Amino acid sequence: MNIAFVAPFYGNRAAGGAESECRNTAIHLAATGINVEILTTCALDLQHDWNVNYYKQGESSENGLVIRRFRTEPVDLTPFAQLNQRMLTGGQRLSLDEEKQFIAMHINSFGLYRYLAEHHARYDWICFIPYLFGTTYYGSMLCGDRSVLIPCLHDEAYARMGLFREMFSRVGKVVFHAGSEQRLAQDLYGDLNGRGILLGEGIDTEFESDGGRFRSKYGIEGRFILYAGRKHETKNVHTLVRHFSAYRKERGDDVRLVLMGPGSLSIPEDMEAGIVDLGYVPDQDKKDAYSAASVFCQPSLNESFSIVVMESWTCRTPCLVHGDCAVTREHVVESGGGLYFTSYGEFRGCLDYLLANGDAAGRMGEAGRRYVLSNYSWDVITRRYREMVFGD
Amino acid sequence: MNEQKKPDVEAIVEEIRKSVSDAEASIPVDFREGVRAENDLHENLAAANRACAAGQKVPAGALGLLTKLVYRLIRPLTGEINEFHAGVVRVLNKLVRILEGGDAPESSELLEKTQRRISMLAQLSERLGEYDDMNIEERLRRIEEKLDQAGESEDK
Repeated sequence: MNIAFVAPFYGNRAAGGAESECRNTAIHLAATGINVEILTTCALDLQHDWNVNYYKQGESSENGLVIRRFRTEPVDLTPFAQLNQRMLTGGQRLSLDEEKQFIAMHINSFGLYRYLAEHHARYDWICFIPYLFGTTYYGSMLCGDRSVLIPCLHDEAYARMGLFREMFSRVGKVVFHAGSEQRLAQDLYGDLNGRGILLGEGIDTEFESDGGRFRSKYGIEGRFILYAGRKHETKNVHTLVRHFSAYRKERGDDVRLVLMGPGSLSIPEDMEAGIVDLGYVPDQDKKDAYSAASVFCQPSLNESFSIVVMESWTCRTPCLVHGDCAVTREHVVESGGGLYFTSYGEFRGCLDYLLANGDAAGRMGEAGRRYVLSNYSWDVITRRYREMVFGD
Repeated sequence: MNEQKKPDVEAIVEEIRKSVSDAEASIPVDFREGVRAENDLHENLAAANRACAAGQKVPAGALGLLTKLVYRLIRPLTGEINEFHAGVVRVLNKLVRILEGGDAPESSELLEKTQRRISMLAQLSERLGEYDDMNIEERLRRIEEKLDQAGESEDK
């Protein structure tokens, strides 16, 4: 069986949930004996200039996968930024012509499209990830029924673009990470007529983690709440910092908040002892931190899966998520692996409960781990891909 | 999914909600404005616009009257400061608009380039549509049709 994954960015340095999912899924599927190729651009990632072809064009191989890279089309960011701004901050719907301009000015590669047009029949299935890129929109248009869309869909302004309604209607299959993501797609784009598959996302469950190693390396003692991810408004981390500042002021000094990940955030001056920002840390340190934390908090309102929640559960640490994020809330309720909040009062009540009831928190951590192992370990996910998507 | 009983999250959250009165549910005022992501340009700019003029915060009651009096006495000084702040904020507002393309003239060359890009992609997708249509079964069907037509004309 020959499978291709089409992604706007690919490589060790491509940060982001979808990029990471593409890479890991491709590697694990290849390990089951499927021939897997990656079709991608030469651009580095979303954060870097898309006009810079960071990687060399052509074919290479890595981790048992063939990688074909194609140059990106030059993008003028000024008109793109205008349309983007109107959608995101102006809350405006774009006209169909403007939507076409938006996607034509997004990440595109004519070289990739020519390759797909000429060679798509070589592949049994061609998986496109995530939904919001020219490579997915135009690429899936070129591959028709052979295309499998892995949208990583969020409830956001982009998702309401008419072009994507059309894209969802014409792809062969759509893979969802969570039931709430699938329901969102049905609300936005209508019935998928049996083409939608609730599959989940693979998680590495075999890793080792040591809380004591984290504490001694970073000099952190006592109980702490952990956040791992980008420190950006879109991740709602400012709400966590605000709630935690109020909580620590009310409840005392014996609990801290540890933040890790890229980005910057202003921390109240009187909270410098209570909130520790470690910035970027190596992956092993992050895994050690899960084991050391009393609670892992994911305050984001827009998640299509949340790998960090799954990793935290793999380390038996209970999670506190925002109740307005349908996906993470569903994970928590389904698994029994934590609690959710929608206001400061609930945040305080949930933290009080988790910190004061060690046994109950431990049971939640165990329930979360069982949930991950039975639903999202790689052997489960690759079997589902082979049986439910590729019809093996 | 598993044999062990999992915690009833909804029941626990419901209990927590009952224990939180409406008045307690909201965050203390002190913390509402205190934390802001540094990379949120627009929020910081809006804050700068709100705070650029000194002498706007006047408490209620007798203290307010006293504050107003003090502000009036130092107005020559605050006036100059406010003028400077307002100038800086206007420049920042303008810069942000330019950076985001709001004040940039719409270049016909750019629009043409975009239109060209769209039409190329449309042509590409149409070509592929034709390519898809021309599969072997379709070709065979067309040949059979032509053979039938030829046979019919010979019969006549």
